Amino acid sequence: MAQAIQLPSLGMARPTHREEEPNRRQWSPVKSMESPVWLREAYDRISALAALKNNWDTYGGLPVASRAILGARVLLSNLDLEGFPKPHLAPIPDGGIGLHWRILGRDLEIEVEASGVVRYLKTHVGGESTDGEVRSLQDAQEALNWVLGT
Amino acid sequence: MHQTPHDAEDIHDSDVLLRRITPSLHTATLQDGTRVLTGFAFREKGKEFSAYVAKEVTHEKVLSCGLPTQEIIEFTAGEVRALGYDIVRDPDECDDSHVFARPRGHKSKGQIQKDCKALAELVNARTAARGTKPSFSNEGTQS
Repeated sequence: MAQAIQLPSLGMARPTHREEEPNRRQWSPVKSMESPVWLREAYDRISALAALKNNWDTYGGLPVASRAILGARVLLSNLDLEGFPKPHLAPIPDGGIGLHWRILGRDLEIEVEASGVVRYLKTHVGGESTDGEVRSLQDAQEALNWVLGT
Repeated sequence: MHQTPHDAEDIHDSDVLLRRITPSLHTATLQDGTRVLTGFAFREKGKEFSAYVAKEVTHEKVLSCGLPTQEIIEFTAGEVRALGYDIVRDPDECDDSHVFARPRGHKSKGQIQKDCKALAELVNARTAARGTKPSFSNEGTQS
């Protein structure tokens, strides 16, 4: 039986506001000054996907589930994404969110299901695919690193 | 309700199937500017996905049942069958040519994800071989 990935809470991934330094409050939503420029766009994209209504695909697709939204945000907040291009973010009709990267001949789809379970699919374009469950942030990072060929 | 729960013999392997996609959601822009179809384009809730038989319906009719932002992708019945699916007739409110692809045996979620990716890559390879821009390349919305 698949289990939801044990990811740290989104709040833990962000810089913690400290009461003794009120002038830092304005920076609290920013993960890191070195974060890729596209990261904020990705968060905005997730918010847009969260607004999709029932039957958004005209094939009876379900709205994106709150667990999928949280899971996608947690992944993007906690993975080392330096050097990666912007992922394509897409809704999955059963309420999940998909993240897609393709670099040269390597293609990666990470799917955060409505239940919070996270899965990956690695594909050599024109060749074989392997899939599996992402059980930790390390699993997700290893899948991402595979896309880069590292 | 599915009318005939078996593979439609009158739909030949070479017959083209049409499916609506939403380019801003189902295609990704690569670093070199190429737009590719993702496996998400074939996903539906449950283990089946649907299409229309091209020889029995027009692109315009299929699009008229969708959203203004949607476009059509093409693949063949043989490509779907080769992945282990039956093509089952299922007339819907849009058109009698509606079919769905049903796994012949049990398929895990991961296997269906693989199959959808394989179909997307077939569409991408055909587009690249033709040397033409896919119809969805005109879509302005970026991922």
